[in-house]
Amino acid sequence: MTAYETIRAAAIPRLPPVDRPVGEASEIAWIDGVLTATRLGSDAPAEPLTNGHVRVGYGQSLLTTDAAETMRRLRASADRYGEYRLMEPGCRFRRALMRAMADVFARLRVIAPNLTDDHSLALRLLAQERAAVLRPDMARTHEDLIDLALAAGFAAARAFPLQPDPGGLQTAEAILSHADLSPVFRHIALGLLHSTGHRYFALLGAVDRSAWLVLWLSTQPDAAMRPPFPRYPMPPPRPAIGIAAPCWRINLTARASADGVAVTVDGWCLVAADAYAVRVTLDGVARLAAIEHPRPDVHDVVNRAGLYPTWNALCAGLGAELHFGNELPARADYALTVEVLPTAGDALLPNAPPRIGLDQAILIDS
Amino acid sequence: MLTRLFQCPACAGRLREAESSLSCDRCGETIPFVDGIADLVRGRFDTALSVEDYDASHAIVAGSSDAQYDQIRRAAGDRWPASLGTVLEIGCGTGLFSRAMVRRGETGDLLLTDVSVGMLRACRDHIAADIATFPRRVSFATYSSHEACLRDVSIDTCIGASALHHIPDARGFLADIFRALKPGGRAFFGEPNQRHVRALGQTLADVLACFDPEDPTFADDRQLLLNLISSSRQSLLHQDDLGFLAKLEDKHVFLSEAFEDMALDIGYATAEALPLSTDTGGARTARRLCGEIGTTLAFAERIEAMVREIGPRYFDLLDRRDASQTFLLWATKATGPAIRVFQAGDGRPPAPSVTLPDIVVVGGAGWRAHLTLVAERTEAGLTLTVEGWCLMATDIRWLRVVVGGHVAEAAVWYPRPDVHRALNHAGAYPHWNAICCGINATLPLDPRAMIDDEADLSVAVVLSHGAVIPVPTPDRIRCAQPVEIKA
Repeated sequence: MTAYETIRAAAIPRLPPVDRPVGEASEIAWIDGVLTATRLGSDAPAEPLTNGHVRVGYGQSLLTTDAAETMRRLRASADRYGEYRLMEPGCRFRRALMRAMADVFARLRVIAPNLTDDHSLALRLLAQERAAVLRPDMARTHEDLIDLALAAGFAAARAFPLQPDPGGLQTAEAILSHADLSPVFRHIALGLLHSTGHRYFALLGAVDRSAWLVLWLSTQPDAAMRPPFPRYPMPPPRPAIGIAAPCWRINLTARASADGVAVTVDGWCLVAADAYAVRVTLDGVARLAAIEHPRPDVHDVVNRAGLYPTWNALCAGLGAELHFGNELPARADYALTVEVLPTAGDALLPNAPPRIGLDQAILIDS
Repeated sequence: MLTRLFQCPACAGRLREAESSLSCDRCGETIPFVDGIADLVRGRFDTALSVEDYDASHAIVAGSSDAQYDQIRRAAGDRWPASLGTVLEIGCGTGLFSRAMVRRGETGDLLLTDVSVGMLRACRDHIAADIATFPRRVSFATYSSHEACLRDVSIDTCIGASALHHIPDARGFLADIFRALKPGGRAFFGEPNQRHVRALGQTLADVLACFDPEDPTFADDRQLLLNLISSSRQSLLHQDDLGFLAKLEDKHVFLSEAFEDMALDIGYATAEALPLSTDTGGARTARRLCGEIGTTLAFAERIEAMVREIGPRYFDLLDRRDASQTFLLWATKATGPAIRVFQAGDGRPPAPSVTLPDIVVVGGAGWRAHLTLVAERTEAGLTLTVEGWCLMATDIRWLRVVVGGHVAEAAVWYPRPDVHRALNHAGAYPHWNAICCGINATLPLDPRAMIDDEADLSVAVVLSHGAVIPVPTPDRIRCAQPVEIKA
């Protein structure tokens, strides 16, 4: 289904009426890195988006790459009375769902240890989703997107839940079916999710109780709209007390390759707050190694008391090769900085040596 | 002034003010003055809060009073009018907000009310110096929301700084206020935010689960905190149960959109829940609560730091509006009838409310319980004592016991850290459920429930969303013979 069909089909409370003729509507999409518009109801092919031509635009996941720039492009492309209805993933919903699923999978490893293939599939799913959700562009809440829209020049912007799923069960069922997990595993997992999920889903506001949001943007002011509440940043994680202090075991190996210097990063990194990557900087040139690999062993050993969120502990693994290309001149060693990047707050600084030499292996251990 | 704002609570007739009372022209009902305070409540309702303790914990000094006033004003933003006009303050307590209102002079006449004469006396003493320079009239009256005493279209503003959650029938009260407001008037209330309370409760339960139960460090402080999270859980689980809430001092914890929908449904033209005291991670609130319940400073600091570490797993799910420990619930009455002229393509239809179905939550780790039931005939009549604990991954609201066809229900909320310690090593149950799974109640039974001191028995658990799950029990119960249930 296109975004146009999905949004029209959903019964969305508070969504302003969609009563414009189909001929005025366009489906907007990214095609080969270019934002394009296809006029609905005509056979004309997709054309690159031009300024001031869109009356009503529909799109899906347009804002998951460089949201600020995309929003500016959309505003420029809207005509004087232009409107956009965009389907975007609900980041808080996905966070709640994955935290609940992580709790479920951790429990399933204890009560159904024989389902080994399912466990590894489930953990891989969890880790992939975590890497996606924690990417800064994907971690934007509906209020962030409204802020971006207003900053880009839209006169009104509102968000609506597309298909409310208050307990996350429909979405979880769809995800688990898609992941090719066995029916037995799915059945037990969904049963556990009924109870485990409540502690997370009960905290979601009305807009966030849906896997997808509809962002309604208009160039005309809406009398009923007030700007969203200001953003209150989360306080940064504070490791002082040591109850759930950040901990890691990071192996770095630098070597010369045909493409210049490469650094292999493996090990694990566990932080109570969400951390999405380890940043390795050599002589001022930075590369990111995502914290995205399943490491159930870390959960078993470090998180026995449940001090860290299960999702973080199960998916604490690092495994990346960082290529610095020709930006670094060939040298025997380089100035090294290693940082752990949380989604909110300041970077954490593991105690790494100041320099790393080629073919040298370094272990950074908390 | 009192006769302008009040009507006879018995017959809605006009009141006449005499030296020592207000009296009704129509039915002769009199409302006495007690120490200059019009006493509408006359002791029928009271608060469990003691004036001395309340006064000590809400110290009325110029700084705190002004800070609260400014905080509310800031949250209201451009909604705040040039003048608040004639103001009714409910639950004024010992005068924290009233003092700033009098000092700032942004109001017309003021009517300060509380359920307790003692609170009003303390309030009057606190603001006496400020009243002397206040150009308008200030009156005091007891009022509990149960008296049908407010005259139609008589006030411009109704204020409750922290009062609405004490009123059992909040909807009925808001409807009364709607009637009493003049067109264009407003009502606003500072209230705790349910999602923030839930996030903090879950975080504090996780925090308490981190302590080694054998470690004597902070044992007393931990018990105080345990009592606090048990009582918040108790009121959260029974939010739609007015009969149960009536027993509690703090009754409601509102959801932002539920309040808005309720006010719009009553007829208010606008209703908004505005964040009042933002605390994104909950640490500041945890620290303050530790202070209020009297823990040591070292414990409060430790809890604050632990909440910072553990809290993000819950707090980053709250949206911006919910990242606030309290709301300012702001509702306005339209200036006139809402007239709509329908034209093609003009305007948008009124916004329907967002109502999301409650999720049905059954599942997870198995049901565990150890309960003892004892039926006894005492001087007070036939009673059933229920003791023990009852644990599920799902929230349990009641343990329902049916004796000889007569139903008695015991709330599940008492602190039982020993159960958590023994059964929840692996964290299979939510910590908040496991730590607060105790039952300790003596329930009155109908004397006819037992014939020859014996009756049929059945037991069930009632979950928070209403589902009822039967519990295997012996078929019969006899007086003074304990029945033990284990699962």
